[in-house]
Amino acid sequence: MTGRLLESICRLVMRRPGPASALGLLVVLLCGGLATRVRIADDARSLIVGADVEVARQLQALSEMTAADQLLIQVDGRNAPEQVEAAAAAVVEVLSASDAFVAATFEVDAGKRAALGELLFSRRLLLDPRDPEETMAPVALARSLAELRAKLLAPHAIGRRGLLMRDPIDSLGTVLGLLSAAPGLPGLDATSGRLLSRDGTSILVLATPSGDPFRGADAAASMAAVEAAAVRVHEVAPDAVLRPIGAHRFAHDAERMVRHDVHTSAGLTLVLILGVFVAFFRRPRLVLVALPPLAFGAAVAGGVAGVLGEPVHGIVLAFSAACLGLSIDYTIHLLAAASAPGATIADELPVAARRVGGSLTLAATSTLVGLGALLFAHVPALRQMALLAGGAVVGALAGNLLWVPILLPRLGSRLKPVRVERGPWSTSVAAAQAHPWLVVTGAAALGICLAIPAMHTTFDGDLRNIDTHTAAAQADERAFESTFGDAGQAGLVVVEAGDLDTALARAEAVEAALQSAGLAQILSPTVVAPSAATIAARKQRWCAHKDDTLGALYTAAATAGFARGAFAAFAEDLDATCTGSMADPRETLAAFGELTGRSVVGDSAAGTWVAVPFAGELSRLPLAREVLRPIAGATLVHRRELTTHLTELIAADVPRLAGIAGAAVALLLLLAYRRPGRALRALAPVLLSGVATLGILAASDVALNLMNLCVLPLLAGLGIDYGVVVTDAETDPDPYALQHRAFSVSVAAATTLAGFGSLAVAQYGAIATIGRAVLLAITTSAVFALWLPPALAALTRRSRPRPL
Amino acid sequence: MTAWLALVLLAGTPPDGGFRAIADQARNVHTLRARMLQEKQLAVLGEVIRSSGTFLFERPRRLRMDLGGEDGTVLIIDGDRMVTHYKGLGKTERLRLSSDERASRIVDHLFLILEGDPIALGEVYDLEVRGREPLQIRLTPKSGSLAKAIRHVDAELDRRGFVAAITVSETNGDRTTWRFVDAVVNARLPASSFVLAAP
Repeated sequence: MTGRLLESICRLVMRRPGPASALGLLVVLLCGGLATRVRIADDARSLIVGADVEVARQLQALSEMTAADQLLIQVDGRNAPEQVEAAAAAVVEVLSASDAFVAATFEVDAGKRAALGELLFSRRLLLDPRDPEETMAPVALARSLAELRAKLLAPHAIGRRGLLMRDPIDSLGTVLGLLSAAPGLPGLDATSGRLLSRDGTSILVLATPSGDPFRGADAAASMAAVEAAAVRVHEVAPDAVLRPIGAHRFAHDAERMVRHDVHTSAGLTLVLILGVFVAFFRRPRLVLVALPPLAFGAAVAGGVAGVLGEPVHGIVLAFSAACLGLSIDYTIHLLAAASAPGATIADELPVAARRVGGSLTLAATSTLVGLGALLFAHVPALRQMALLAGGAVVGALAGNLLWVPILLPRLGSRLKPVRVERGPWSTSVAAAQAHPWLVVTGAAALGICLAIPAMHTTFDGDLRNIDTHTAAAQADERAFESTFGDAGQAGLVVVEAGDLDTALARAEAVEAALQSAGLAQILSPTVVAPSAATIAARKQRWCAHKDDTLGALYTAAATAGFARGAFAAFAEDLDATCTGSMADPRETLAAFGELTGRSVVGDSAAGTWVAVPFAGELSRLPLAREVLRPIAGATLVHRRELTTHLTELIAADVPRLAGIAGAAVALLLLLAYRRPGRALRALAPVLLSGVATLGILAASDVALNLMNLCVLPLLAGLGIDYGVVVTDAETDPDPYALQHRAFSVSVAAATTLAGFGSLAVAQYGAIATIGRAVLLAITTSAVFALWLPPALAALTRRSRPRPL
Repeated sequence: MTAWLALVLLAGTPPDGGFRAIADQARNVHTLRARMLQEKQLAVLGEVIRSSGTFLFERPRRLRMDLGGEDGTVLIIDGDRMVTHYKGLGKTERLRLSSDERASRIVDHLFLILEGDPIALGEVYDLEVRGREPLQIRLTPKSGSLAKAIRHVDAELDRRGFVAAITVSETNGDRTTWRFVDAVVNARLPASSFVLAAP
């Protein structure tokens, strides 16, 4: 029925080319107008941020509470250590003057540190985590007082006596020492007040950009300022090298790569598919027939993008450009069918439309169904791909029905038959018909062999493996890590509670849990703001035996040569500690946040949150997750957590999307054919191709990631076309139908491969991974489509009882 | 060192031939090497602690005080960098003065006294000449946080144009005296003089 419908449309268009052209142009103009509204998403995070709530939460926490969005600039003075400070100062000067940055520094802010120190001094005894029984033991006291005496007698001790005598056991120094951890940067030494590497050859400039690193314009502005700083550094310190790493650098590099890939993909795809088209049909003028439907499909896809109302990512655009290779398939099938010798185009074309119309319609529908499965993906980019590619397919089919009947007759009244020469396609189908058992057995064996590795398919949610960094960026990363450490190893635990004290108590429990998991460099805000319970316990320790404590101090002081009454001020402070109350920790936490540059406390829907930064070996994170589980309100935030969660999403999405696409396509075929056997013959190539694709990927150690997981639903939607077209040769009255269809499947596959081939060689990993997976899927489904349906059909004919 | 003469002039005491000679010598003092005697009188220790060592000074802002004994220290200042090594403790502290306001103020005053910018000194201290042979001057802080910590500074000048002794009297009663003897002016000081050698 659909064949007759397409025949009628074809005849109508051929009778009324003028109105048809006008309609076509109107649609192109309308869609083109809508396409001008398309906004390119320069926010790389949009690829995943809409995946689910947990992903969004992790991303937001990483952005707001860690240095993930800061730019870390290593001023490498290995070649000239004497220049490194001047270079760092130049970087800070240029970045501070730039609107693209809020702040840049390579020093611990002395004023902020002094402000925090003043706040902490009056509370030092209750902040000191050491047990007074240990610090006031005779041996420990002797050591402390010896140190105190040495400091008092130092030449520059003028004016320091008061503070030194009030803190004989250096409680403030102990507390400040606990704040010197720099999670993720074990190679950093900030004790001098500068952010120096421990080997002394580099300075770390911490730069806080004012914009969003994943917004292309902001990242570009940040990196432009860094380049200006590099120019200035070259003037003052020609031998110093700048190595910026961070989200802004990587996002800016990625955007440039994606833009390059999009432009390359579109141009290269067009050239390649038209080249393949001409190579097979050997009639360059037919390109004039093939181009308008392509443009029509692209226009419709652009219109869909414009209607979406949301920014479209460059990766989606690159994928959509590759789908031009799909769009030309309908032209190929139509032209290959319209090749009866001696017939006029006016007669042959509608007949061809009737003959292949059913196949084309079914193929297009199955493609839409397969793409439709991507609408159920977690990843927003895949949902966009489904809509744009769907628009391209619908547009291409409609464009063929509109433009081919208009343009083809204008090439001449008679069309020379497409020479379906003997080629690999005809050899394949002939061999399949001649040796069906061999083919089926071989296919089964191949399926079993590849099913084994396919069962070990791995999933990779690590964005770093698809977010390609340039060679220069990778070199800078390696140099930074070898000097300072891997900043990406830092994470934090966000603790929520109804009130601040409960949050602080939970934070203390988190700190203990992290230590038990072997994680280090914990910079808990409870160092400066312990919970009320901890304060009470420490107060008890100091005050329960206060007189004994002071007695021990006086005894040791006399031995060390201190005069009577030398520690009167300390005794007063101890009295005040025992009788007074601890101030509200919020002020201290705010000062702590000012010094570290990150908020460690804030308000949340649950009440209050407190963040506990840490670092450590990634292998210990699973243990950390386990030990944190009993702590209410504690959430582990780490790049690895994000990766783990994304991997879980992929592992869930792959079978789900493949299942939806496969079931929908199978149902479609059953409804269309009403014969399970025929539906199975059409499905067989894509089923085997699915196993083969997964098996080959797994055997090649290529994991399914956020991008290439689209290959299975795409396979169901695209690969099924080949099986349908070849299978439908069984009911095609053309005696050469199988050869014609095998030829058109080969050409269609070649053009699709040409389209996705441009993706496979893309610079940006996320795009290349899609291209390579789809290339594999299309190749295998096309090859299997030439072998399996003819072989299965031959077996079915042989198995039918011959009429007597 | 020339500044001391300017101070005297500011104080209104006419210079005589002795001051003129000191002023001429002070202009030419670029380095100083001397034996150093430190005397600290701290109320909390109840006794006067004496120590001796060596003193090195180089314009514009380098010095090394190396005091021996159980409580001995090595103090090195080189521009913005300060290193303190406590010999008895085996402990070393390194500091950038620009990151520690308190330490920076103390060091600034130390150099203010040792080098003597007449304009800066005049803004900070009131001047009183207390003796002429040798020239002895008392500097009293005018106001501000300095006056809260320091009562006065007594300095004795050598004819060769350098400070031979300094006594800092703090408001809490503590007193620190440095005396520089066997001084050698403009000796060539090795570059390693202002670097703390590894123990």
